[in-house]
Amino acid sequence: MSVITEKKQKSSLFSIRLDFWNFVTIMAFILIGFFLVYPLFNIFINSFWVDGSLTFENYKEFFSYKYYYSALLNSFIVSTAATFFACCIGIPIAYIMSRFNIPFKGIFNMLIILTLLSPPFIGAYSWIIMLGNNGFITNLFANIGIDIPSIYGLHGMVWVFSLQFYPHIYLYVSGALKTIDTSLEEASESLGISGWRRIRKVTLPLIFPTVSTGALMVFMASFADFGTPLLIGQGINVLPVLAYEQFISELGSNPAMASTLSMILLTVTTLVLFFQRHIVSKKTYTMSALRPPTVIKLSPVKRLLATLLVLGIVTLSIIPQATVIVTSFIKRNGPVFVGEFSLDSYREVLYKVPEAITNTFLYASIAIVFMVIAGLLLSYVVVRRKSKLTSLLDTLIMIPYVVPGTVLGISLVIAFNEPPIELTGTWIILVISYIIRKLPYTMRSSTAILYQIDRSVEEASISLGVPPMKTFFKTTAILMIPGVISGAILSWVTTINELSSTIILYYGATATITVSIYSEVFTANFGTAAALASILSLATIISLIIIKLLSGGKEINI
Amino acid sequence: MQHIKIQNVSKLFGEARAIDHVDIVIEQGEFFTLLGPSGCGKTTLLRTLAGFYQQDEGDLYFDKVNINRTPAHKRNIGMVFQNYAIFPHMTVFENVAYGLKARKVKKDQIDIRVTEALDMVELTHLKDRSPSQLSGGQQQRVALARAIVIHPGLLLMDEPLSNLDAKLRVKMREDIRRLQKDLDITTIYVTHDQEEALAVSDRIAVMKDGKVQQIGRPYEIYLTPSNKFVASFIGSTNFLTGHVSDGKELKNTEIQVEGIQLSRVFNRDYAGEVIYSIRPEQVRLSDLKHVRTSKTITGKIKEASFLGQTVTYKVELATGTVIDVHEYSVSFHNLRREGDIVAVDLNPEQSVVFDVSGEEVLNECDNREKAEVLPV
Repeated sequence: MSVITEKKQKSSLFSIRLDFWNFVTIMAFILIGFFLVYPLFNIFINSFWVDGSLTFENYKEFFSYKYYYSALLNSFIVSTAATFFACCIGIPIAYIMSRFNIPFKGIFNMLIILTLLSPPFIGAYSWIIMLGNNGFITNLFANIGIDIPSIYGLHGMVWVFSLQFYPHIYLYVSGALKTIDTSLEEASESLGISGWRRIRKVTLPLIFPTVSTGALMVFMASFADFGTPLLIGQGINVLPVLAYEQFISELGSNPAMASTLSMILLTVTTLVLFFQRHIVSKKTYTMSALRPPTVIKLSPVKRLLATLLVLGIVTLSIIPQATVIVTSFIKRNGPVFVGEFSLDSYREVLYKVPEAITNTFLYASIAIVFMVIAGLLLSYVVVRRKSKLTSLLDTLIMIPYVVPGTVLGISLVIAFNEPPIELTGTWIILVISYIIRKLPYTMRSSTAILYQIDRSVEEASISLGVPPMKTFFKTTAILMIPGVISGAILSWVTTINELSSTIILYYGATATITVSIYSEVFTANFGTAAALASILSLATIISLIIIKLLSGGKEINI
Repeated sequence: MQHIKIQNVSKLFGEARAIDHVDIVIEQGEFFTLLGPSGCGKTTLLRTLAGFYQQDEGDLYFDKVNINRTPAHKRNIGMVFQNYAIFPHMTVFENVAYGLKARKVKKDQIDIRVTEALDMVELTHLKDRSPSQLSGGQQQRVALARAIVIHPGLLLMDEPLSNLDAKLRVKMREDIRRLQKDLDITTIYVTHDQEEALAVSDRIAVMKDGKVQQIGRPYEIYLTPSNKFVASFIGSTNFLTGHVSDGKELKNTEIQVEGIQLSRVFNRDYAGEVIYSIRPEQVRLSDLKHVRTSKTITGKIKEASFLGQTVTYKVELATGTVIDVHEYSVSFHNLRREGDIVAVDLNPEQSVVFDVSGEEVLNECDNREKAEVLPV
């Protein structure tokens, strides 16, 4: 008798478990499975599939032709060099900014973040304006008889990436420096280790794990970037460009080779991720500073020098933005700039590609709606409903961090190219790719705020008679809003600046601003390109200000 | 009148039994405390009652109605949390009104009841404040008002005072106790602080490893602990190893402790090693020259700490065992100095004798009848 009732109880217990949150989890799995796992799996299969049979032919081909494997080598060299230089710039800037009394910190900080958020190919493009074959600095020096090296080539990419991505290092290191308790450094000083030696022996080892995370971000970003090498590579190929060319070649595309290249890209990024995780796994220190380090007052001379250093770097990295904005207002005659200011470029943009502007903001806005909902619900599932299943979900959601945009674009096209689900060429596929690629930003900031919300707030509401679902929307959801929204705005900013997957997924009528900039640059319409890029910059700056206001002046977490 | 019945309830987390076959019956209007060290299952039991956990075995009854399947939001329970769990996005008033709104109480009624509840916790003047402008003690009062305003059938409190400073803790616990009696709300209170438990409770259940060790009134638990764990967890005590060679004579069982014979009335035939438990304040010290009988043990004061009201001594007995002894600091005259030699009376009438495992009380419990005549 008692056994029977017990069984009954168990089964009714099980039926209770099919609640809203499990529904959310299941839906998330279905959608991610369908729009991320399936397409990636598809290109994996594709890379081994030639003329209807299983083969390693594609991989063999890749490693036997210099044309292919040199692209991998180039990608690797560029990304590694860029990571190294980004560290060289980012760490000192972060140290100076967080430890010394530098003036205009807020402005410097904002400019550094702005640098990071603007699309790298705009940076590349403005360096061409400055240092290209016909660049104004090149010409300036040529006029006085000095031949300066051209920006085109590997070193140009390294230059652009280093200046574009050092903010990753800067942001991570600044965060880490704040968590080092003063007493650690004081202890070191009292043991007779001070100055540079203290930085080397105590501070640097303590922030090493964080630096490596920042370095990982720089490497990933440089390795996956598509626009910069396309503009200033000039004959020097890197993997994402190669994959793109194989996929959209006018001489007949080669999806199998494109898939193979995508798999190789994916393998490298994944390996690098595991390598980074491995080297920090033994060196992670959990610190919370009881007494965060105080800002040291420098002597006037030292202060001036430090300020000049920061100013120099920040200026150098923001120059591309400035150049683009200035260029957009310069009057032109055909492709030739004449020395007057006008709004011609903007008029032309509105005349030529108005839909690119509406497309960009429309798609990004549709994507942000989904990202807010997904961020709200999925972060709750991941944080509050911890299980093996939900941590798998968490991992799946974070996969796009290691998937280069080109790869995701190619995989989506291949997966949804024919009935029953034919999405290629529609705006829907663009929105899907944006949601998948940029959701991690929203997720991170949503989970971060959720960890700060007390679980018992919900229990209090439930015990007061409000059912669990209603409780969530009346308490936790409201409290999460600032975090979710600021994450979503960050997703939004990176969405409007997205090029690498858009360029594969777009089709005439669905072109966005970034794609238009790209094609304008290629047809030498620098004015319109600059105007479009300025519109993006303006949108980015406004978004940043909104985030800053939302987070109540706290640090922006990217 | 029986109000809450917890019958044979167990809760498992994986393989571990967080609550292990717990049986408790709580009367209407009773202030009942679950007391135990961290990890003993007291909070798990409370959360099971609240409906946040589903028990794996056993039944819960409120007013003889089985509530096993009643979801948390329909149990009509007021709960006060350790970390207050105030809704940070609402004012004090809105916090307290929250449960009434959920019950669709009319607006004018809400105003009356919220004001009344805030009066009780002396917070009426802060009703429009945001929680972030309140101190910890004030936040906990809001939480209390929020829990009682819904006229709950049962009030659950999960270590409500542990985040407050010592002085405020004492004041708050007196207030809680008074409010509970005035409103006649059956209350289950969880704490690991034995002093707090003794001060506020009608009855206490001492828990360890998911099992109830003893249920009783505060003085019963203190004076007649049912096992070695309870004796050591509530207050402090000295455990001395004793030996009974012949347990046939129940009325006058001789226990060999610290080299002397003490006699105690046993409740059963027992021979072998025993644990002799005597509280520090029950041990009597006297100057050696006054008394010296066969039941006198000599001891030497090793350490003396003057705590104001009492003085605590570490006394080394002749055998080398060191025991704690507490004495009132009545006058200069009775203070003892380190190095003094004293006569130690182990006061067998006040001792509790456990079997060697510490699980069973061997002495006849004569306090129990006395307990019955004491007022509640």
